[in-house]
Amino acid sequence: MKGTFQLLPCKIVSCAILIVMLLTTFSLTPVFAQTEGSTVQSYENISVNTAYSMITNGSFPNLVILDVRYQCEYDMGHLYGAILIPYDQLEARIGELEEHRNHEIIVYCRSGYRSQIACETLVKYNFTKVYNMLGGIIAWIDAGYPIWTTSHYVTVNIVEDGILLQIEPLLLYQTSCPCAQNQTCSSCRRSVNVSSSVMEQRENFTEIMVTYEVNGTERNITIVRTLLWSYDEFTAEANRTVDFMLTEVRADNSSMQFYSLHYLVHGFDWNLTLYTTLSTASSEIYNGSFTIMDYAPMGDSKVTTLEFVEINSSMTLSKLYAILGKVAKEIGKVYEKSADESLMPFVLGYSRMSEEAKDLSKLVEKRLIAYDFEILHSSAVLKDVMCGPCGCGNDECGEPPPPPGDGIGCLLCEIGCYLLCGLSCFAICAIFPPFCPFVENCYAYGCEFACTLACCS
Amino acid sequence: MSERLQKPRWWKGTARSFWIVFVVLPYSVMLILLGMLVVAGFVEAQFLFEYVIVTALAIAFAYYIRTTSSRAVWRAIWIMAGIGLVGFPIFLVLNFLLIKTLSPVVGFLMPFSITMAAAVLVGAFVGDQIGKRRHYKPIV
Repeated sequence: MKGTFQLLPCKIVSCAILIVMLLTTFSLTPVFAQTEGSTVQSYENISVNTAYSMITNGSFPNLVILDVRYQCEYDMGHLYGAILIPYDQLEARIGELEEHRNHEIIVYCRSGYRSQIACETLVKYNFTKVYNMLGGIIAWIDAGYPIWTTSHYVTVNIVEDGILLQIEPLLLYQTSCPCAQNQTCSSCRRSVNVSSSVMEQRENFTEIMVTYEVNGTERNITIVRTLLWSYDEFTAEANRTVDFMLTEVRADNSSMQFYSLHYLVHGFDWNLTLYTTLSTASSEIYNGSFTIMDYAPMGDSKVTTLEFVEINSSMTLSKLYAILGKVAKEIGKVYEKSADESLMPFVLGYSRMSEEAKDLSKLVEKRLIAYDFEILHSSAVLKDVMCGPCGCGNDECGEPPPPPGDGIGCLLCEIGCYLLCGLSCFAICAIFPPFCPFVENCYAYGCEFACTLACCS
Repeated sequence: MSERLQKPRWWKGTARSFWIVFVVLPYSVMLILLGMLVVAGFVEAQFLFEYVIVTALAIAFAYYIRTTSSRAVWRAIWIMAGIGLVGFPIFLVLNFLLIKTLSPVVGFLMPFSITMAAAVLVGAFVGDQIGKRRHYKPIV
């Protein structure tokens, strides 16, 4: 008897532990042991392949694709036609899906966890055909299926017979939304009070004092810029300016120096800005470079693309711009292939970026030889911002973007100039025939030089 | 009065050989040179194409004018040459003086019109006067 009494508590404790373990296992099963085809509480887990065929085969005309991630993640990339309701807002916004109660709903998130919670919510509200896409959008991209995205990560490797480009959606590398929940990307940026004043300005030299406030403490930075080389080109199409500068930044007891190239293009209805900073390693080699290329056409929407470019090989400054031109061209092709109306304007944008970067490459190669050194490591960001009718960066319709040179006047002047100059070339040929074999040279080179100089400079 | 094709006084050969030596031959040499430059990659093929078309037209135009045109047509040629040779430099100079300084104040159209009109009128007058002195005959 004594032995039986001693064993009884042990049995009860053992049974209790066993029951707890079993319950824990069952409760975690939907999270860790989901497999395709398994039905959990009336929703079905499906693979990305099944989801793709459901979306594309046309058998489900009322199919709904529900993205349950946050706004920032959705903005970065989503399945074509997906509607966004973050999983933690689903109960509150369930009415938005009311008409789809008996339609097929494919639910996805980043990797599959939030979509499972969303599926449970939908089932709770009596939605009848709910499908949880296992692996989320990451598995979808891994399977090679298309997504709507305006952000890419581009890696460039220079090989013997050219360059190798790898373009992937940026969201593969962005592990979480950079903002807090329920915030849009723009609303979560911290504002820093910055003011600047020009201390000294001479022909090729500018000294600027920048004051900013961090945690209530005011700090000063002195920026000294020396213009080393400058180039202007004014045509009827656009005005182009290139400045190559040496910049010294002094703060407290430390200072640093870097070179920078600033390329500005003002077209009739678009602007392009390219800014490259170059840190020096020695007198004839750059340690690294960072480039921002920003294309801003006038438009009526504010979709933005953002492409991060990482170049894993060393190359000269001129070659860097040639590569960025190539990258822009390839990204343009990606948008073109998407065949999505909302992305089509970017095809033109990246085509222009490509042309401008290639032109800059030639210019640097020919005119900036003294600074066209090897760069050990380079990265870049390419942006195409479709701005509102008032331009970029000011929603209140304040200052419009700078007008392009002489605009239409420049064009009219060039037309008149070319007419007179062409007439001159032909008339000389008529009264002095030995000049005739050089009429085309006279027109193509002489007139172009004179008219560009006279009209658009 | 129709001008017949005449050989220049300093040219000992025939008028036809003058055109061959001073027009057709340099044109052919230029074509060969440009072709070599296109092959070498220094000149774009489009320029060669434009050169062939434009220069052939210019030579044909010059030859046609020389062989068939009347005094009135030659006068027009001299006026055109005046607009080109004299009016164009005037246009360039006035462009710098007027358009660049006045455009920001009075707009582009007025200074451009003045510049263009002045260039064309002065060029045409000077061309006509020079042509008149030469009896509207070509230089060569």
